[in-house]
This record gives sequence, structure tokens and C-alpha cells, in this order.
Amino acid sequence: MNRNALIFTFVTICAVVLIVALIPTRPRTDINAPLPPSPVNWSIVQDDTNNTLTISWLGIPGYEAARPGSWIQQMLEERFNIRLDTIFMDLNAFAKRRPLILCGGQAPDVMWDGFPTSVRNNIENRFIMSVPYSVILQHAPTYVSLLNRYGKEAWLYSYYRGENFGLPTFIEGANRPRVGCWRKDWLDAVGITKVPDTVESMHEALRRFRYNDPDGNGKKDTYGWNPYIGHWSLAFSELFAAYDLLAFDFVERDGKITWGGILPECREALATLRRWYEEELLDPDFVVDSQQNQVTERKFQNGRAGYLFPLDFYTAYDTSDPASMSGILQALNPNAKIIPAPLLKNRDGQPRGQAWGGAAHVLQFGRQLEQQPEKVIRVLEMIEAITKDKTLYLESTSGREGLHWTKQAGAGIELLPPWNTDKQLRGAQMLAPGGFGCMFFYPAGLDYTYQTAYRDPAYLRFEDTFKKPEWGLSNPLGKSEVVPSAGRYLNDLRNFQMTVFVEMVIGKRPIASFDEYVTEWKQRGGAVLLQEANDMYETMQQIFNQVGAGETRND
Amino acid sequence: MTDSTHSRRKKISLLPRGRCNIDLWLMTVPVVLFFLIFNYIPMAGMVIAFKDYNLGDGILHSAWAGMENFVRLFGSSDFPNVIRNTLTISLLRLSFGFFAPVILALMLNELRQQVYKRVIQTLSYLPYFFSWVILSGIFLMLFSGSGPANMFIKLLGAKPVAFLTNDVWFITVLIATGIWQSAGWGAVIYLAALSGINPVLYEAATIDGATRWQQMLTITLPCLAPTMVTLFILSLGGILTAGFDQIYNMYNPLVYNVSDIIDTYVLRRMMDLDMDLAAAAGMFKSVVGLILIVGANTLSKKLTQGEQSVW
Amino acid sequence: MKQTAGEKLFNGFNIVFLGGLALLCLYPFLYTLSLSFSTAAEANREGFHFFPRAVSLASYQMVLSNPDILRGYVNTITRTLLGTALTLVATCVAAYPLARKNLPHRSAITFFIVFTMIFSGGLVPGYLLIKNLGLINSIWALIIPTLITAFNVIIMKNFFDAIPESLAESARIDGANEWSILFRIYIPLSKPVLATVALWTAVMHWNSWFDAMLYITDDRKQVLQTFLQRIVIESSTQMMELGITNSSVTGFTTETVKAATIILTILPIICIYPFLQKYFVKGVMMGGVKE
Repeated sequence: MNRNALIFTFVTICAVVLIVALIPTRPRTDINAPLPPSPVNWSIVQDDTNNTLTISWLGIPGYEAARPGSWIQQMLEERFNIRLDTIFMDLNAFAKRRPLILCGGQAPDVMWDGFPTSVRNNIENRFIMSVPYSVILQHAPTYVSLLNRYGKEAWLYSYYRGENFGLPTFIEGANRPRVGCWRKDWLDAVGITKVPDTVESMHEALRRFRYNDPDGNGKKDTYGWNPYIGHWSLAFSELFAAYDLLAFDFVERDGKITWGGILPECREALATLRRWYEEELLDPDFVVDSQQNQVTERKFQNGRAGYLFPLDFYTAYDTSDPASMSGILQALNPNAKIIPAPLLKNRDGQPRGQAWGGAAHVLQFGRQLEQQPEKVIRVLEMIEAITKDKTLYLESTSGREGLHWTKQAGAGIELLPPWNTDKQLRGAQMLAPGGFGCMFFYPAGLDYTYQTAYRDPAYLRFEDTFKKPEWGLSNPLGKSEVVPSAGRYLNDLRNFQMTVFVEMVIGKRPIASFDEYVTEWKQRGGAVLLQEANDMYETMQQIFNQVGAGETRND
Repeated sequence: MTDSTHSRRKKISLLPRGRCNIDLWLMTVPVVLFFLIFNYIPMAGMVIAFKDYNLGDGILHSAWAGMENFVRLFGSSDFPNVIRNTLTISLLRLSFGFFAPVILALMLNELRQQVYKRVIQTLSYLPYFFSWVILSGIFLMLFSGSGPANMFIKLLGAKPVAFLTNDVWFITVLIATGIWQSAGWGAVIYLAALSGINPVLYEAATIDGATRWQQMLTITLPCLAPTMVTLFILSLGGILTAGFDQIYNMYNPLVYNVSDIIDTYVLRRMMDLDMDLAAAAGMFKSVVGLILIVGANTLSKKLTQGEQSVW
Repeated sequence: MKQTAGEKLFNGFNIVFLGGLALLCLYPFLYTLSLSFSTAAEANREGFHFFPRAVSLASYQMVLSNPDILRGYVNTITRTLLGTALTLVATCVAAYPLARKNLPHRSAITFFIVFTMIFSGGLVPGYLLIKNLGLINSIWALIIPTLITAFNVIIMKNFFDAIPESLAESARIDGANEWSILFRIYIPLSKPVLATVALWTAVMHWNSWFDAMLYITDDRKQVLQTFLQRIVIESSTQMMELGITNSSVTGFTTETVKAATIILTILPIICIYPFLQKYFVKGVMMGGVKE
């Protein structure tokens, strides 16, 4: 080929790079600068409920079985005089296609989002419109009071640069801590009568599981625990909670925000884990096993370990269901029996466990609604109506009583035929009884307030025995992702921290080097995050006061 | 080759000339248009590597960021390590993985039993159809501390090996399983090339008394050379792509320091919708790939006096 | 023909080595197959899975009663057949002029094509292009952008290069135009590479899901691999439950359903290679060539 073309290509590329390099760098968006004012004058916006409004709606991803025109959709459409244009996405599409349709100028009118960083991006990219708190309060006062009670930190996700974007959501049950389980037959076999509820008694049980042959096969082939570290939120979190900390999140100490993973208590917890590992109580394959799907569970089911975390939904303990953890265990070993693990007590004797916290997500409104703000009002009115009306709440999440389900005395909701057997049909109609129900149209979880009477008493017993909300330990800022530089540093830091912790536990790095790790953590951007988190913590109270949540406490 | 050397001296003319037929242009023009529309026009999007890309403003109206995205990309203290890992894994893959399909094809070619050959051929390309999510599960089980590989080692009386948590072993496992997964698939093109060899050549060599080994060296390999050279040059373009899927599914916190490659690094540092950083990383990878491909092609052309080159 | 001792030894080694390698390559398939036919309890047991010790067809029953999967099959088959046929023709037409020495600037044009292998504009411009062409939710969005790929063109050109120019010259003297030289001489002589490109394209179309996930929003037009992604990668219970029209059917776990989906997805495509292998027979190319 002619050399000229090559040279030409190179020169062009070099020239472009040089020219662009010479263009003065503009500082990235100043997060303190006020945003351009909203063109909407909310005081004169009128919503005439006789007008049928068409609203495109991108709800929570994962409703792959749902079909447009489901029963719940039709019910809401008739009731609120709207036409819903539903957009269903799977997780992949939500991550990859959603940004593209936004770029293509097709932002949906209503758009769910689970991550504060993503909400910020939508604001910065001007995909979504601001909705003042006063408007939300005016049209959805009951909803606001419940939000402020169960998950007021969600306002931090929607407040940005002094304005509120969208409707924050909450999930009542997420204030409850997560629990694990013990092999009851093993505890019996090694002579432990009291189910462990302290770090010391847990240690003793794990030790006996390793050395006292709990399965009675005459071989030393059992471990105490195969910890799952595949996600930072689950890595040893029940043990860290006993030291009053969330190792991979912000925690509060003496009115200031700090990072759980750099506290001296965290070092103590790591030293404990190191000792347990040295005593061979932890399965040495735990790091690799955590990388795979369900290997940790499979090993537990096959009697390789006697403790599993997490296992915190009551149906897992239902021996009559062959697909539950209990059922699977018994199919493999008829003697196997599991019981929920009580939370470990901290040094004050208080049970403690990691909880997500009730602050959940944000329901955003596409910027095109600045031209039709009455749609925002209609949606807010709909959310308020569902929040206020128990029957409507149940219908919009689980279907209609007498048509889809009945209430049995002493039991939960019982589905009627054909819904009880035909899951295809049920999925298409978006009927999801039990749990949170269908969260596509009403993305908040009033799972205790409204559903107590409709839940299996066994469920309520389980929740109130093992998962009391006051035992939950959650991030004072809701999610660590709320701080402005989170996108830049947070994943890197969590990764780095995970490597250091695992290396300390398996002895590749001395616990004594903890202080060096803390220094490095701060250098790698941790110091920036701490500073921003503390700034945010100070302004947080102002935001809470603005939204009328200043006095309330999460309970 | 000679034509284009002449044409450089002449006036550049796009019109068909001399022996060239109008039909050849009729074939070429739609192809060039196709690449223009579906590849070159979207390439304008590369410009976001130099912008503070605001999706709402669109590509054209976003503010210029100069080299800021590159500063963000290269600026981290992790970056030298990331480049080192990417190059190590990629070069190992290239140096071992490139020849594996050739050797496999040559070995298959030596099989005289046609049915057996076809069966082996089909089986050897099976792993290509399994995603790393599935394959990693199998290998992590196989090579874990208490897995079958270590049980076998213990049977032999040796000490167990930390295949998945030791840096060197992990890279070894990564490269080996990567080759295993793709060798059969890669061999397909060489098998096609092998079937293009004129059997008369072998007959003549046999009459001359050449052994099979000699035949392979003097006939088979030279006939595969054009395909090998082309594939080698093209594979240099992906030198900074070290196999994200496999690594992402197989690594663990204990080997992050040797397995953190550009793609995992970008994924981790990229906020949702932060497309300018990804674009900067992509551009960096492309420019390095382009330099290598052009360099290799020029070198190949020089060494073979213009006989072997992609263009 | 007599074999030396060394050759015999090599033959023996070759047969055994390749046999062993083939078995290694078979294991993931056997593992998945065995898991897909296992009962729930069997699937939860640790260790090797070569053959299911307790057989259940429940997973297949479940996957095959999923209406999305069945529609996905139809869409994937359509896409693969149409895409492969068009790509083969287009690639031949693209590669042929580049292999002819009398095309001016052919090396610049080749570089122009190779360049697209290295640089790409990324997701956003690609999506906007498809959207502006009005191809969203159309099967053409999956076929046209990959109709001609640089790699296929270069490989095809490489094989065409090996065909002596003299053949084309003599055909021209006989009055043939370029189209008939391509279709009458080059293509019949290039069956192995056509089979290779056909295999590559068919497998690429069969396995692609990312483009379908971006450009196809209507599940009725969605391809099989997107559903596979939902079931295997995202472990979507909603997707799996689409196959449950009678929940009294038990004996499956998420893992066995995933395995059954994988088997049903890859079985058709792995079967095409044995059929294409007949084009890989030695000497096929030079049959009509006299040097």
C-alpha cells in the first residue's frame, strides 16, 4: 500500500490528539453551582382528572413475565383515568439500553432508578425534571409522612444542588437486619444446647464443628463456616456487626461520619477472623467459592460447613417445601435440620445485624413533563391514593381479594385457581402476592403497615423473633454512593479493602499492617470520601428540615 | 502490488483505467459505502473521548474536556499495574494461544481415520459454545484447594497447589483454559486452508522420499503461512484486550493485583453513564492496536518483499 | 505405503492425545447435559456430573413450555439463515475486487476496511444510527450492521489471493465479465473458506444477544440468546416461571433449568459443523486448476 496513506493517517491522528490537548480543560461540573431554574410554575398547574393522560412508565427491571395490559395496569388505568405505556426491561437492558434510549431523546415520563449515582447522572444530563418538595407534600402528604418515618435518607438520593428531583421511595422491611442459620443437628451432635449468639459462643460452635466430627462419619472433613464474600455487603457482615460496624460503608461515631473498615474495632474483628482461619474453622476455599454461583450454599447443603449466612426468609426453614433450604438439606441427608441464627451481641449485649436501611430508590420524571406537569401531579395523586387506601394497595401489588386470592384464617394470602398453579398467567398479570408484591407501579414497600394481617403468621413470628428493626445497623447516609466522588473512588476502594481483608484473614498480610492499610485507603481517595460524607452529614439535617423529616427517627 | 506502485507516480485518478473493469468498481463502491455508513459515521462518536460528554446535550454540544478523560484514565496510581497485567496476559495468550490452533489443525490433518477425525474435530470446538459463566464454575471447582486436581496431587504425595489464589498459577490456569476453550474453534480456518493444498505436492514429495515430518515442514506449513501471517497481524489489534469475560468470571480478591486489566479497571471506575471514560479507554486501546497492526504489516511486507501483507 | 517406526509412534500418540483432548472438551457438555436431566436432589449433590443418577425431565418440560423460548427459537433461526446467506454473498462481492490486481487503490481500500476492525464509535452513535434508520424492533437491525465485517473480508480475500490470476485472465479472454468470474470460478474454488465464513457467521448470529437486547424491545421479536441471558446470567425467576403453567410439576432447580436452557440453545448450532466439514476435504480447491 502506498506509504502516503499511512503517513496521512498517523499525522491526522497525532494532529487531532494535539489540537484537542491544547483546548483548555474546562473543570468538571461544579456540584455547588445552582441549576438553571425550572420553567414550571407549579402554583398554576391544574390537573383535571376528567382528562385521560397517557404516561410512559419504566418501572423496576425484572418483570420479564409481565405483559402490557396486565390486570393491575388496567385497574390503575380505570381508577386514575390514565393510559400506561409500560416499558419492561431485564437487568441487562436496564443497564445498557436505558442510557441509549435516554440519549435518543426517548426518556420515559416516569422512570425508576435504584442508584444515587445514576440519578445524579440523569440530573446532570438533564434527562429528568425537578419536582419541589412542596408539590410532593401537597399531593402526597401521607406518602411523605411514611417516607420520613421509614427511609428519610432517600431524600439524599433525590436532592441535588439544592433542588429535589423525583419522588424518593422506601422499603419498610429493609430496616430489618439479615440473619444466617445453623445446622441444628450438628449443634446437638457436638453438645451445644444454646444456639450461639455471641462471638465467643460462635467460635466455640465453629471449633467443635471442625474438630468433634459433627456428621459422625469418622473423618475430619467438616468446617465451621464457609463465608460468602462475593459481594462486599455480605462479607463477614454478621461478625462486623457484632463490633458495631459496617465494614464497607459509612458509619457514625460521636456525631461524625467515618468509614467502618478503618476503625480500630474493624481491626479487632479481622484479628478474630484471622484466629478462626488459623484454627481451620473457615473453609480455606471460601474466596474462590464466593466467586461462583451458589457454591457456598451447595457446600452447606452437602454438609461441608455448619453455618450459613445469609438465610433470612422464613420459607427457607419450611421442611415441607422440597425447594427450600430445609427441603434440599433433608433430601441429601434426612437427619439434617436448620434453625435461624440469632444475631451476635455486641459488647453491650445488644444484638446487632447489618440492614440495608429503609431508604430505597427514586421515581424520576422525564424532563419532557415540564411541558405537561399535570402528569406529575396525577402520578403523585395515584401514589398517595395507593398509600392511603389499604384495599387499593393490596390490589395494585397483589391483585383483588375474592378474584385472585382469599385470606385464610391463621395463614397468609391463599391464591385462587388458576392463579395458584399457573405461574405463567400470574406473571403476565403482574400478580405477585406476598412479599412486597408487584413493585412496578408502586415502588415503595409498605410490607408491614398494610400486610401484617395478610401475611403468614409464621413469617411475622420469624421477623419479630430474629429480625427486629431496632437491631439493624445501617448507613447513616443511606447508601455510600450518595457522596459526589463515590463514582470515582468507591468501587476501587471497596475492591482494595476486600483484597486487604482477605489477605489478612488468610495470613498473607499481617494484621499488624492495619494502620498502613488505613493510610493507603485514605490516600487512594478515602480521605476525599470522608470529607464529602461529613459535609453531607452536616447539610443532611437542613434537607431533612426542609422535607419535614427533621424530628422523625427511623424505626 | 506493481500496479499500485505505478499508480503512486501517476496522477491520482478514481476512474477505472487500463485493465480495470467497471464491474470491479460496481462491486467496490457499495462495500465502501456500507463501511462508511455503518462504521465510519458512528466513529464520529470517538470524539466524546475528548469531551465532558453530556448525554442530554448530545455529542456535538457537549463541552470540550481536552485530555481530561485521559488524565482520569492514566492518572490513577493503579494504571501502570493495569497496563502491565493487560500486556502480560495478552502477550502470553498471543504467544501460546496463537500457535495452539495451528498445531491442533496439523495434528488433525495427520489423522488418517476420517470418521475419527471428524468426531475429534467436532468435539474440540464444543467449549467455544459455553460462556465463561459456565466454564468458570467447572474450572474453579476443578482447581480449588479441595478440588479433584489437588486431590490427585495429594495422591501423588505432593503438596497441594494454590492454583487459583497464587499469582503465577492463576495466570497459568487463565491462559491454559483460555487456549483450551478457543483452540478448536481457531483451528477451523487452518483446516480450511489445509484443504486448499494441492495433493499433487504431497505425491511428488512422497516419490522423492520425504518423510511426513519433512512434508509438513516443506509443504503444509508454507501453505498455511499466508493465513497465519494475516491472523497474527490482525490479532495484534486486540493486544490491549485481554479477555474480560474469562477474567471477570474467574478472578478473586487474592489475585486482583495480577488480573486487573484495562476492561475491569474501566468498569470499576466508570460511573453509570460515564461514557467519556470508556471512550478514552477504547481510543487508547485502538491507537495502540493500530500502531501495532500497521507496524507488523509493514514489517511483514518488507521481509517478504511484498508477498505477505494484509493490505 | 510403509510407515517407519517413528511414524507409527507418532500416529499412536496423535490418536491418543487428540482423543484425550476431545474428552476434555466434551466434559462441559456432559456436565451440563447431566445436570439438565438431573432431579433436584441430584443436582444439589456436590462432585462430578457425568451421567445423572436420578433422571428427571421436568427442566426440559419447563423450558419447552415457555412461550418466549419457543418464539426465540423461530427468531434466532430466521436471523441466522437470513444473515448467513446475505453475509456470504456480500463478503464474496467485497473480497473479490480486493483480490484482483487490476483494481486501483486496492491496498488503500483494504486498509480502509481493516481500520474498522480497530476503531469503533461505541454504543451511542451505533444506537442513534439504527434508530434514525428506523430499524428498531426490526430483524434488519441484527443483520445489516454485521452484513460485511472486515475480518471476513480479509480472510476471504486471503483465499482468493491464492487463486491464480491466470484463471481470471483466460476467462476474460473468453468474454466472461467479473461477476461471472467471481461466481463461476472463484466461488466454486473457495468452498472451504466459504464454509468457514458461513460457520463463523452462523455461530455469530446464533450466539449474539447484545445487539438484540439493544435494538429489539418487543419480546415477541426477541432472540433465543437474550432469554438465555435472562435465565442463566440474571437467574431471573420471572423468566423461569414463564414455563410453569402447572406448579405441581417439581423436580427441577434453577440450576437444572439453566442447564436445560443451555443445552437446548447450543444443540442446534453445534450440529452444523459436522455438515460443513465435507467442504474441508483435501484438494477441493485445486481440482480444476492446472498450474
